Amino acid sequence: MAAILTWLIPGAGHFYIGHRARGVIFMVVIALTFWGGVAIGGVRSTVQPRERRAWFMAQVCTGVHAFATLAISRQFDDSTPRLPADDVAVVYTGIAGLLNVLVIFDVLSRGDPAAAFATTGPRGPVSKGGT
Amino acid sequence: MNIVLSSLYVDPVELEGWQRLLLLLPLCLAIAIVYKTTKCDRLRDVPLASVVLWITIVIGMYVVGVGLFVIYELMA
Repeated sequence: MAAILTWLIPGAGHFYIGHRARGVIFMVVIALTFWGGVAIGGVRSTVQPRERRAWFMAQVCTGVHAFATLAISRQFDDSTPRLPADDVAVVYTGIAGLLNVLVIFDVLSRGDPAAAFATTGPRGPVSKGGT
Repeated sequence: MNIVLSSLYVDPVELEGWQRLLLLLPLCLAIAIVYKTTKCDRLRDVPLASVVLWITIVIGMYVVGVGLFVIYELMA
């Protein structure tokens, strides 16, 4: 469940298991990286499932961010020419997706929510000696 | 302001060589922060560890880039 949440919304899985501060860091950093890439490459050209299939596989690991970019790009009509996105933009969005894969593995390694709450509390890890 | 922001997100930005090199910095910072946030047990250790990793990655990447450029120039 936490892994699926993390895939859909980066950082949400850590919220779910009680590591809220960690979740906020992942959420902010991955969102900034992805949308920074979209700002460089343009919303119509950065996420392209057909033209850049391998990069799209990485981009889609950001979940809602990639789907939102696809949905927004479909709002534009195709009458205006679509300029190719710079490779830097595609790398930014792809790296954001790959970072979220790392976050998914991290949330899986931190165990189930019951264990996390029992050892760290709902507001995140506590100092040694705490319950 | 809105026009600038909307045009930023609609049309691709044309980047020159040195601008691409500069854009390596925030990307490496993002990688360093996410990696160290997964590795550090205490979150207060994350900022310093991220900065150290960030500098290491940036210097390493630029050294590799300069090395490859020198090899390319020698073979040309």
